[in-house]
Amino acid sequence: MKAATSGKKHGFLYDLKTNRVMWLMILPVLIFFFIFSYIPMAGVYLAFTRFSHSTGLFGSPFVGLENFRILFNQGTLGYLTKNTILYNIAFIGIGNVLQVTVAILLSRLNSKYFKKTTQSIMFLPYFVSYVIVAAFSYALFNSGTGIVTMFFRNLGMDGFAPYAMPGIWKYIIVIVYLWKNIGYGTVIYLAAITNISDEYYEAAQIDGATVMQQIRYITIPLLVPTFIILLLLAIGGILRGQFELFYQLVGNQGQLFTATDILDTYVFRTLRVKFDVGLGTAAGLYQSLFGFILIMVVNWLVKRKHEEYALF
Amino acid sequence: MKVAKKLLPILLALTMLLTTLAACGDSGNGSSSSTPQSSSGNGEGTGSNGGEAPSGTSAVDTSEQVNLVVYTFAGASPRDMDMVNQAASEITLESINATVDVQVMADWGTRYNLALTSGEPIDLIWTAMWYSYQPYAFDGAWLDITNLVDEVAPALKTIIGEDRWEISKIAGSNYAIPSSKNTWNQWGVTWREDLRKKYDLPEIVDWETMEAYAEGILENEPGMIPYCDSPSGGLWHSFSEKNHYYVGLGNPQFSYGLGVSTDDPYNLFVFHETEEFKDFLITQRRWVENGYVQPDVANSTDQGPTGMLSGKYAGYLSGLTSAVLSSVIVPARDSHPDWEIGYMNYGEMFQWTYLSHPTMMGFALPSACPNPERTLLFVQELLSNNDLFQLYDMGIEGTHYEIDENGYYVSINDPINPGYLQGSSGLTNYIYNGDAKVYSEDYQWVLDYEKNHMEPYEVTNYFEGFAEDYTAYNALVTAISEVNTQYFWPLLRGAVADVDAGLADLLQKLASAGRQEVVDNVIQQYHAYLEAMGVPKV
Amino acid sequence: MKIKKSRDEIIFNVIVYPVIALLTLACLIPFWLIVAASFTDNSAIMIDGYKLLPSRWSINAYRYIFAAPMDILRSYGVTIFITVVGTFSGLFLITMAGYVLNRKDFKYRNKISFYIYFTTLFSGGMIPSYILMVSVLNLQNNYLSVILAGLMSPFLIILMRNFMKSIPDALIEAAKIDGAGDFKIFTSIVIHLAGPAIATVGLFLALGYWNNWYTPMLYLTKPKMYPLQYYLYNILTAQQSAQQAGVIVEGMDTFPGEAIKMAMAVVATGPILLLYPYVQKYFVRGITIGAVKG
Repeated sequence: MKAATSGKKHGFLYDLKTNRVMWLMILPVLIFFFIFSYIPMAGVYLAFTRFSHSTGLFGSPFVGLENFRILFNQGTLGYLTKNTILYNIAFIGIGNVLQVTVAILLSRLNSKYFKKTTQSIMFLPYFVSYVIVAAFSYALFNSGTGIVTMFFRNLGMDGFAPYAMPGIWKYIIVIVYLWKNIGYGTVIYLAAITNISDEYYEAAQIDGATVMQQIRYITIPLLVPTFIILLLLAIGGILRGQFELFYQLVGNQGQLFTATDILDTYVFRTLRVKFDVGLGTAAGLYQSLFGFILIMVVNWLVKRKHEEYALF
Repeated sequence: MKVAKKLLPILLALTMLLTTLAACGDSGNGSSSSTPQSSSGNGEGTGSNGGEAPSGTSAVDTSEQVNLVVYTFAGASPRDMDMVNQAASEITLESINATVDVQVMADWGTRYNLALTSGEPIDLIWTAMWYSYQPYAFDGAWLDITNLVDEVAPALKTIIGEDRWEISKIAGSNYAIPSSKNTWNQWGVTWREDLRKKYDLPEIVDWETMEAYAEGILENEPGMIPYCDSPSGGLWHSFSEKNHYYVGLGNPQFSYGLGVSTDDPYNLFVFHETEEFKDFLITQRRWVENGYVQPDVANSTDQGPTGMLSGKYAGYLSGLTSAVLSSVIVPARDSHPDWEIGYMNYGEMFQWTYLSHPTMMGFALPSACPNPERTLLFVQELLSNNDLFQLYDMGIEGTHYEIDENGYYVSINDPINPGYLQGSSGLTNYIYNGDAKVYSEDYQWVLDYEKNHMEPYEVTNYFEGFAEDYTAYNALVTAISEVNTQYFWPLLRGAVADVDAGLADLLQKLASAGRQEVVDNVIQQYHAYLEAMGVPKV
Repeated sequence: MKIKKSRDEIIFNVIVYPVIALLTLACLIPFWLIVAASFTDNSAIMIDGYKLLPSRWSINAYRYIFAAPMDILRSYGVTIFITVVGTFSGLFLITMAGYVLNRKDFKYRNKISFYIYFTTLFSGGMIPSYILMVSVLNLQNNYLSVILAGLMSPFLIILMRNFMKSIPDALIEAAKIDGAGDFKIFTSIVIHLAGPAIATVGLFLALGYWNNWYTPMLYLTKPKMYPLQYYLYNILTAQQSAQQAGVIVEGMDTFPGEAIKMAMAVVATGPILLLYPYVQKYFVRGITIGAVKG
């Protein structure tokens, strides 16, 4: 290795030399992402082309922002963006709060047997594929013999027919999402909680702190970094949705679309009519840009207050 | 645990090594060289190497051996596909010096477009009018084989028929291999004839009698639902037949609301505004409200055949005649011998039938096809070499099937885990060698039905062959499709309570989505298309 | 060390135990329904719906799935192979990355974090990835394609990095002063202390591979190579497609459609559920057991 003497290159090459073991340890990851993420990223270029089989992928004409104009002109982009963002806020926000709560509560319980059993069982929904969820939801909500339908009809609401009522679906979808992901998310927080030294709790107990006080002053503050990181990780994908969830639950029930359609399902349907590579990639790029700007802003804000909590 | 952690790097190195070895062994050459794992031998059953080398081979240079990759549509891959491919390759190696690798594209939803767009080397791929065959043709996804066929495999023209090749042309060129099979793709209604007789309900001949049957079932068999409907519209698929005009124009089907009659071929009109359409919507809604079909059909996962066989439904608004045979009539014989299954195709019911267009579903050569000449020769071989065709149609004789003393096909597959069922390659239903085809004894019913109940009412199918070039107004087409998903289909399925309001909504939304402009374009193109075919103005 | 339970602890328990129990029930019941339905006669499911106890007992669905034992064993084997190789490789690389990204003396750690994270924001879409895998790297019908596709997840790398923050820098400093190399520090200290993190990330990786059918669908076209999820999916579509093509299938009437979907879910999930308790002990601990002793 060159001896580090000259001005500009001093930093990088010097660092490579002194820390070469660490660089080596992280090299596979760097290479991996370069090959499998950065090289294909060049495909973003397709968003600015009008793809045609006759001209192929590399020869298609450049049309600038035409695809984006088409997307925006549909008029639907507005409510799609709104839906996607609102649902994601509900998912991320309520989801994380629920998972943190459950994790904290679980960690404070004494019976090991109870803890392990309930935690395992809470993981089960993760394994239930959305296809089956769709079958169950039909059994629950159909306007003939659906269990939920019958329940509300018995309460006097005669015309209760979920599949024709867009308004209730936001609750259904959020609840299903929470149910499905509760086990998965709780695991992360539980793992973070085990990292908290027991000495804190013991000391607090000796000082006479109640359970709620211990949670409030020890557990929660120490979980904040994890909470924030998970939030930040999720924000970048704010315009991307849980495609399977929406697609299976709502299906082709057109009446519900204004309330339940997200960007991913809309693009999916559009591509079914005509597979337009340019349009599809443009939609993806829109999602990416939106998320990118958002995360840059939020991360910068977080960085200003707590440097270590930031994503990068 | 500590020891385990030390071993980890070693384990890792090992697995990496293993993987690399695996990589060397399995590199994707689309091989027909994979050895079949099942017990029976390989390819012995085919016997002779088939018939004459088709004429025209000498014009093509077959000195280099190639491998042909064919993607078909059939749902799922048969267990013994590789075995059949190997046997077939023995034949094709002799005749055209090529091995064949026919693969069933199980997940066509995603892979199809990916494969085509990324230029994956595929020689022959299935295509369908309901799966963008025509837009792809305009877009250059298919190879223009008009002249190639004449040069390389002229027998294809004679076997399939010049007229089929002619009407299959899009803008003067052939982009797909027309099917030589007569298919009737209309839907019908299936019901429990034994129940109808038991409760003395009228014979089913039209919508009113279908309703009477439904009423009878509701009254006498509590808990049973009269008909299992399909999200694509079980009753809707009789609308054309009832009113004697075709409504399938548009991308996707039905979207523009255009209808065209065979009596007056140049007259395209908007059927949304007709009395009969309103009448249909009201009928469908009534059916839903009275419980003749299952609720919320768009989200129901019930399938007609299994529904009927389980006893939950007393009938279903079914698809093809052959499907009814295989999925209801034959199974019911074993499981419910006291049942009688009634079936009537809508075409017969309303006396208006038409043969499917030769390119409704078939095969095309992608523009990136690596071996176009050899591919055409392969198709030619399939259609002229009976052994090859039967191999792909039925599998290996003695392993998968037998021919009984009357010359009928009998499957000897394991019923629960079949190796190769008839037609499971997806290839032979569309590249159809009529001379070589062997039917099962039961299938005779379908043939008879088609002959006696469909053929007599045939009208000429001008409408399916129309290829709309909408590259100029692509955005409008997409917008209209969205409107339809939200407003048309719920109406169609009877999910909208106030039919009048729903219809008004639909019309208004379609208007603001630019339907008129699209319709004007379509009418223009359609007239040109009719004129090119020489259809006389009435 | 048991301190006498104070009153607020009792109140806490009285409230929390039932709440958690209710939540757990909500998670259990649907799965129970699936298991029950898998043992129910298909006609009974269609007519009676999903019940907690089979209204009519039948193991037809399982007979169908296990009708070709060699095939299903092979697909199990494929899945296990992919999961094990993928998880171990990925876990090793991710843990190393998390460690490196935490070292305060690694100046470029923030830039690299951003480099990794950026890949979750922008993507070229399916087509460039497909071309890369199939045409450029020629990995169609090669298990490596599936393994590689799921190997690295920026989410998991950052998660690992975060968990490792709790390892005191002092320890690492001390080791460095003692003259230990970076890798040695990693193997002798960090790995031992990051138990819960490694278990969590390993679990997520394994689950990702186990449940994955999407990349096999894209890159594996030979049925003999199908992993479990995809193999099961094919069973379902095989009979349905034969029906649509108008081919007469023997024994069609006894094809247990709904029940098969349920049985498939059970078969596909079973083994992983057995693995789970083993891994669980790393992150569900009592408050009497500490994580990092000072």
